Amino acid sequence: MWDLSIVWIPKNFTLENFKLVFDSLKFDVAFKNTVIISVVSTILQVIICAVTGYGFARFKFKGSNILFLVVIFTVIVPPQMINLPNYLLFSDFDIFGILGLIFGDSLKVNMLDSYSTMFILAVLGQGLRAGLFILIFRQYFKGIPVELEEAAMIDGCGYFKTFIKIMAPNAGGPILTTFLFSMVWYWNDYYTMSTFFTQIRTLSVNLSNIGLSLQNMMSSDAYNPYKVMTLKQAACIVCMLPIFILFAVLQKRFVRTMVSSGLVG
Amino acid sequence: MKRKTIKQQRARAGFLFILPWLIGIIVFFLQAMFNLLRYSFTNFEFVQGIGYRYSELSDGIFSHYKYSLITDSLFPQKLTESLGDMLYRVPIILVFSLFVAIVLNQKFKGRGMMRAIFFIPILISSGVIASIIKTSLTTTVMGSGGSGNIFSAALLTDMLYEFGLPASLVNQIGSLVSNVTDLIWGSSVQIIVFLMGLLTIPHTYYEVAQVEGATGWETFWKVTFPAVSPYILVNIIYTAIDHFINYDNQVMKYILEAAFTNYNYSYASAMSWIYFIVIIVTLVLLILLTSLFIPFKEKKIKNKKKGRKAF
Repeated sequence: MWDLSIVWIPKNFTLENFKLVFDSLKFDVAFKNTVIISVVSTILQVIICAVTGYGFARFKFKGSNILFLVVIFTVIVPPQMINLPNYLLFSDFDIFGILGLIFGDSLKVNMLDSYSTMFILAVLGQGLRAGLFILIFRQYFKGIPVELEEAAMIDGCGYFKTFIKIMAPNAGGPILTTFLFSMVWYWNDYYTMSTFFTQIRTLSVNLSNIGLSLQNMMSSDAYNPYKVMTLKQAACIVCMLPIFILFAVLQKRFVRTMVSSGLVG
Repeated sequence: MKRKTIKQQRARAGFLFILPWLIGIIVFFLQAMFNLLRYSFTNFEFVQGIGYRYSELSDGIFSHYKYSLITDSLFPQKLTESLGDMLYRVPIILVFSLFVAIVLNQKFKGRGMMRAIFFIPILISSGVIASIIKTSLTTTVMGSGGSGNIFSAALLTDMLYEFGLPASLVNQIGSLVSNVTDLIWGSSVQIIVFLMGLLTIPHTYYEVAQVEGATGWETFWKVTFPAVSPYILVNIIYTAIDHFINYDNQVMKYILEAAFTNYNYSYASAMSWIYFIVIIVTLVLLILLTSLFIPFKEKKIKNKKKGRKAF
């Protein structure tokens, strides 16, 4: 079966491997978790980054320059190191000990192992690579002529109404790109997910542990490093496929807007 | 009631726009950085049952920092190696992505396809899939126990030795060729950025150059390069950051190992603070260097316009 010559066209097609892979990835549960986490966090993250980017692009207020430096700083700091203090923070949630002082220790909640951990991070603009997205949006909104907003203001729109009615519909390009990027990064991320979750398993976390779970599933005489390797590759395909389909569907628009809309910088 | 001026109103609106982010940054980022700093000055450990506790360091609050820089033999070495890697990766990725961007900007059949293909690494290059693909490729090509490179460059290096090139240079080229997949995977965003720059060049510039009898080489330096030069800085910074915070980065791996394999959080925090500072200093130096050597767009375009008027 495992001859040394390279076989480009398989001699006999089989879906046996994929069945095994589906089982060892616990595909149904993991897929559900991954979709919930990445879709909801991505939507929250895109909204909040657009709002923040707009705030930085258009308004000058005390300390806005310093705060923008902080945005750049968040891009530079490796996210892995921030995760440890945040893990401790989430394990008994408190803000500088203030909540505990005011409400007593009863309010401390263990927020690990719930989807809300990721959602809170996303909605407060601390999702995966949020700093980069804020930069993209800021750059984009800076490029839109101010006259557009002034016209809206004269017609009686407030600041927030202007943003929702005028600016957001205009930002289709960067919204699409950040949506796709953020989706991909959430989908692929296993570091943050495996730090914050022990019960909730996502596809990429399961994929990183697949060697072990395959070992458990296969009988010892069927275990063969080459076979495991092909299974791993099959697992990669399974995990990538949804993202790949998304990319294929949006490909034309994505490439066009990425090239023309002033991404990064 | 006193009415606020427009300026005050705008300041308030802007503040409200960034408020959610501001809360997030204080709670999850600044607090985390502050905690990291605190761990690095103390002895921080998990205790079964209680959770965690701090204890004073016996020999001064900077002892973790001193240890990492003076006693630890691995950390400074990895740090300098990582910096050295960056120094040769950045120019190579820049040149490669500029080249690919120029090719992708030409008109040819299946251009959309090719563009999509060069963007695909964005989808997989972060995360676990890339690492599995890399390891499985190595084991297939080299057999188990391979040296960790996907392509073997033995033939090329032998050839270069025959030409009489110095060994150190040949080794550099060899390792470069062996890691070519890494370089390609690391350059997809940069290609997009350069492509953006190239798309801003009006077609007429090239026609003028052609009429004036410029060679392709001259056209590149006089027309193409000035248009993409503002994006060079962006790409340099992006490449450097990408290199520094990558999961594959040696320093990052070492710090994470100290934190999560050896459970030495205080030491890991101290190292990560040193690492942050090194990253920031390097980026500032890079920005200064590039702005010294590479002219920026606005100047160039103005000169060109002036020149055309005079013409």
